[in-house]
Amino acid sequence: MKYGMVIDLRRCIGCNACTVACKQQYGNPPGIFYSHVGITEVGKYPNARQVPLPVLCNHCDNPPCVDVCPTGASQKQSNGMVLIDDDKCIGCRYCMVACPYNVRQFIGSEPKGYYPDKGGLTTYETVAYAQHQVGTVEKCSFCATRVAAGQLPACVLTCVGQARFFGDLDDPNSEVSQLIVKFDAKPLNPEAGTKPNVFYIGL
Amino acid sequence: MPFHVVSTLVYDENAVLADIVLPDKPFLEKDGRYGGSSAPPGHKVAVEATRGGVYFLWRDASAITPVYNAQAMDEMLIDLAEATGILYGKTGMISKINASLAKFPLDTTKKFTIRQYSEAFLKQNFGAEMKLSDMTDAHAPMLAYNTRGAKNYNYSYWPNNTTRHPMYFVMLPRVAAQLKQNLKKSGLPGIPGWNNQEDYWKAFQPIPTWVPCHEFNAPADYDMWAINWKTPMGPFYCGNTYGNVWLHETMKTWDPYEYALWINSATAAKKGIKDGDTIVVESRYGKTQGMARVTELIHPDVIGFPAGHGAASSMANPITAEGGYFNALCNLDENNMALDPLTAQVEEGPAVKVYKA
Repeated sequence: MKYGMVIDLRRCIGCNACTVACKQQYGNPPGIFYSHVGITEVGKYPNARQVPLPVLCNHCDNPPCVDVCPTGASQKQSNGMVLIDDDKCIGCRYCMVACPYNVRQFIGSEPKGYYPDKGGLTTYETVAYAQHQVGTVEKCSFCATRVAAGQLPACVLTCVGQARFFGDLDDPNSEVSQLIVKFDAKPLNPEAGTKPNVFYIGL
Repeated sequence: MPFHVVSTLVYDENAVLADIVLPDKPFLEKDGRYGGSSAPPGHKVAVEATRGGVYFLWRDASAITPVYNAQAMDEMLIDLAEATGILYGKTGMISKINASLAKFPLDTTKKFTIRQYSEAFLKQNFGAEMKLSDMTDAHAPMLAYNTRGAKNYNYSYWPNNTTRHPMYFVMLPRVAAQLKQNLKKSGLPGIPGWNNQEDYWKAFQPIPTWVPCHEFNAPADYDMWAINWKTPMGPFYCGNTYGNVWLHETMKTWDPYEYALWINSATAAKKGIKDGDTIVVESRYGKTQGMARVTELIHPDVIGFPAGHGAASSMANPITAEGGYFNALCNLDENNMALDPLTAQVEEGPAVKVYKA
């Protein structure tokens, strides 16, 4: 079993619904994004177009974040997921430097919330931010808890273009494995040598 | 407006101005059938997405205890229809609804609940075995949701995958005839408050027709056109999209094209405008300013206002005021057809001049 994701860039419209669904799922404070879609442009007028590129933790087979972690907080699981143990993380941020995808986030101080001039946190923010440990690093977990409960990651479920697919890369009959073969899906920055497990169609 | 009644969940401008405010229920407390184009992630909804419309049946709300003693707007409308005597009988509201419920019609002699109405639509669309009580978090089926491929498009329902392009909008002359008849019946010589009656009726022509645009008369120094469009992250103003802090943060952080005014690189060079400069866009009716995004994505004669940013109001989150405000450039005078008579929408790309602030 090795979980992985396929993102079909031909279907991505750059709406960032995945980004917001992720923030909603984890109640992420201002400035914290586990996943996002970057928007750039290519070409010259009149043959120019926008190019969206969704980016998240690649749950690499050779995760440099795990290698550099001095406390063992970042660990590669048997199901392929790279997860962080909050209680072991000391916030040294070596992992953030090591990650070639720049997708790790640091909770540097108590979150101030989205309405700092309105007298503190909202009720929702108070509950949500309690799940974030100050002084630790966080990132996309492939929605490990949701997946363990038989659900899809929030970004996959919410994708309006149905551009995201999630499944077992070790199973040659899984949707993700077949898509990779059929469309020659490729990972982002393979030259970093981390053997990422997020693949892109149309990269 | 002599008397203004509002059913609302929030204390918005409409509520402030209303004579009576009827508190609405939040959607989680409602049984119901709603049209829409997207579903909240994680909510179990039944969806019919293959016939041109997308319909959601929200999950069974019977297990939710309403927090306050609010009534849904739909329930109020049923009460109103009953009180005004238009609910029952062959020409009543229930009979009108039954036009869409051929297999599972509601009883035209009895007052119905929104739950009964929703369940009837559920059965009509998905079969007699369907029940609203199936629409729970644990068991809700995803019916015909996210149909993939050709079945999403009308052409696949026509012989040999041909495409059908309706070129004659028969509804428009029909509506115009009915409207004229109603005006006559009411003893009115024309549309009240509309100066140019001839232009008004032109809007009902059943085939696409070019009409001269008043903006062509603008002086030569208004040398560009301002346009406005929906973006993937900012599709609608309703629902306070631009006041949502998560969307605002996401747009500001990850999309350099939101909250910016698009100008073609060749035009920007001619006008001495650099990417990131604050620029003023001025029409004959008003002006606004914003940050220039120098891009290849737009026509050299056009300045682009993505989404609906820049609209401030005293009741809205102040973040809605960020970005250039397209409406400040628009004209509301019906005499030059800046307003579409059918939709009451401003349909205009104003002639503008653009310069550095």
